[in-house]
Amino acid sequence: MSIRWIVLITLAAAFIFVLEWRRIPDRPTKAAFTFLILAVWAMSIAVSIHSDLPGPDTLIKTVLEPFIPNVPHQ
Amino acid sequence: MEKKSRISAAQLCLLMYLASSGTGLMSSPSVAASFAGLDMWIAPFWGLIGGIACLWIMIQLHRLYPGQNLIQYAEAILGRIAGKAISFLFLFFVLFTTGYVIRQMTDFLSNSFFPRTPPLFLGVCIVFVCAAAVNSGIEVICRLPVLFFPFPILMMVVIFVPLFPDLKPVLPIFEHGILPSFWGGCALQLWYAVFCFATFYIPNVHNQDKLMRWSMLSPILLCLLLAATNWSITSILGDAASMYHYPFLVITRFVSFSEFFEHLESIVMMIWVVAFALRIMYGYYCAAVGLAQWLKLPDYRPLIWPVGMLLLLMSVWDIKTTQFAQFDSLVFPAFYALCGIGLPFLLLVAAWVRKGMTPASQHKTSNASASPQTQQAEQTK
Repeated sequence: MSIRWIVLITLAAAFIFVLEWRRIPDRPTKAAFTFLILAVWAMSIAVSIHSDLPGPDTLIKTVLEPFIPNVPHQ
Repeated sequence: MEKKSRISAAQLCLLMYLASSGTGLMSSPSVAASFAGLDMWIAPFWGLIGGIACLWIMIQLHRLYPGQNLIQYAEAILGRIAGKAISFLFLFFVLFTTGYVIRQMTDFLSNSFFPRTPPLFLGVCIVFVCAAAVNSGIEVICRLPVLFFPFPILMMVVIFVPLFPDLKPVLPIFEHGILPSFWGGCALQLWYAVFCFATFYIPNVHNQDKLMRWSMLSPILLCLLLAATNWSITSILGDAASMYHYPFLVITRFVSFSEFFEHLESIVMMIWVVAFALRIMYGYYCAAVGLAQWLKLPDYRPLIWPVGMLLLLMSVWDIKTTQFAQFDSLVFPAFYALCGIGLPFLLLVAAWVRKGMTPASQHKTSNASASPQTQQAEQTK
């Protein structure tokens, strides 16, 4: 992905943060919301920079593949 | 959280059925064909066992812990640390499957209809619409399928009636034994295992006495739909069914009313987009509510937008292709079955053991000290 996507992701995260944060009444929700936005933003930037970054797909295949029998295709 | 929201068992049945049938009609024929060949129309009947087992387990767990969902009772059954770990795995499953559906939809639209539009933009559009629905609450999500239900039926009539003269018996049956159709049924757990999301909706059902009957109807309807579709596809395309990404879309191109009314794939796209939206809402709501309960927050609504971003991220992260049929093994169906049926079954067995070991008097006390939401649900019953 290009720099254009990084800017877009950052703008979207900042926009959601500014808009929603003020409306959250309690402190635990504010903390969870801030952490979640930051984590998702950081992961999105990492995926934008390294598009072949191992993720859920690789994790599932690595964990389960040794236990699954090879079934012949028709 | 959602204390006054009430839905009916029929609404839940329609939601589960339509959410699974949209993506099921699109990709399941090629998945079933790659494992079962000409027996692909039998595969949904094997898969039905998984769908029924999944819903039966969820309802049994709900009877043991009324008014609670999997994230809440996992902790009550297994303790704090193990419960959190199991519910985190379940949440990962919900996020992964919903992100996968977003990717399937954006790939389908960008490959077939919008080749010059960035797929991520299509994903943002659908997530935006679904976020608005999730923000409106469970009642809105469950009323949407009731409004939308006649259209898929109309689509099936418009597509199958003109094809009827071309349909012929699919023979031979069980040419390579019973196993290929069984493996096809295992692969279809990609759709049947998703019925486990019902755990987030069941506590809000007001007519609990009809829950079992209505819930069982949705996997049966899905099975009949997939069997009929697979039979038509095999009848028309034969062995070539596994070569197409979207065989159902291919057979709609054969439909023609006296060389005047053709190109019904535009109607299919229209219905599919709405069915995809329902499927994404179905998972999106579960992800938002589940995450809020995992973090013990009083409301899920502040998490809707971060969860939406997370779902978009899951739809692009490390997914090379959304064609399940191209996978050489049953890794993904096994993952779906493990998380959708295996984890709840583990919880059910642990809950039975726990209830069996708890003295009756202590059981009564624990019920009396249940959460206000639980007590409210019991009063409703």
